[in-house]
Amino acid sequence: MIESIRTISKALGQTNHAFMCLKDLSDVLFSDLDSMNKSFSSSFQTQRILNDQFRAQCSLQIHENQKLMFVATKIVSEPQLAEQEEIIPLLSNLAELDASLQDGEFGRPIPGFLHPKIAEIIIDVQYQFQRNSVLASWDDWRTEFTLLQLQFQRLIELFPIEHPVSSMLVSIHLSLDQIVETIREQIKILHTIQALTQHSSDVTHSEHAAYFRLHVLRLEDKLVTLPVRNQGDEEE
Amino acid sequence: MDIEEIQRRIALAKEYHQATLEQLDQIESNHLSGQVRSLQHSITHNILRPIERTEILIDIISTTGADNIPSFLLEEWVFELRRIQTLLEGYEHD
Repeated sequence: MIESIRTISKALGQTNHAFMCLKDLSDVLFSDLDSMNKSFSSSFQTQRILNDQFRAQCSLQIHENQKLMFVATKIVSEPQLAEQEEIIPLLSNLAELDASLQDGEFGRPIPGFLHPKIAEIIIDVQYQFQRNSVLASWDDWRTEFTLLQLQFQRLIELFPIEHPVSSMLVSIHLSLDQIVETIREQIKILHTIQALTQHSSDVTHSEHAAYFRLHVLRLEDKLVTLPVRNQGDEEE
Repeated sequence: MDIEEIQRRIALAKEYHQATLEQLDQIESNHLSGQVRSLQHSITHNILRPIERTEILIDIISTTGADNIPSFLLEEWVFELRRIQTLLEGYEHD
């Protein structure tokens, strides 16, 4: 039995690491959304709320994980505790967890636990998606959000629909479409202003130059200040 | 939208209207000079300038790429192209 609990304890350790990675991911998204909301007059509050729900779920899972870890570690270090009657309800939690472990990768959902294979992939995914720390142009921001979206897409595949995190990942992934599209529109505006400015200085008739300058003014009106990435991760 | 076809018809229309302007220049009649100037002004500002502007728009769309132009502006420009197309009818037969 102690050997089984050791295996469970190890799996719980991996789960903890995996959920910490998910929490780090939600922290990055939180910071990026905060910067975007400052530039776009809080246009992305829905995304922010979805991410807040995801962060809350990660914290909840980590909390459940730590409770299970405490029991498993305690029993491994003091095996005689397993004989005591008060410990039996706690052992039944671990038994349920063991059953999920035996189920395989997509076994029954236990709060605070992920199958080691899934946990390992989540950790790998976090290290695979290394992002640029300096975001100095709209292209950099587009890359940032595209990578975040790809990362969420990878994570969606790892959670069965029954898991509370699953639908949150899907919602966040879908909601990032709007942000990527908004950034793409800003890039288009910049390209077009450049083309129009070039043409308004080349055209032969002042009438045409005035027409294109008018378009430039309209586009400049739609330009938004480039978001500045927050240095600290202070929550509002 | 067939851009090459529009460009071909723009060239034909410009040629036609420039020839008309030249013909109007050759009219030497004092009592018609007011109407001639008015006609020249109308042809230049109501037909030739919009056609030239369309040529420039086509050039901007080709060099920038339709995918790199904001959708609201591209829609306006496509509408402008369609409007100009109506001015380009029938010059092949004249």
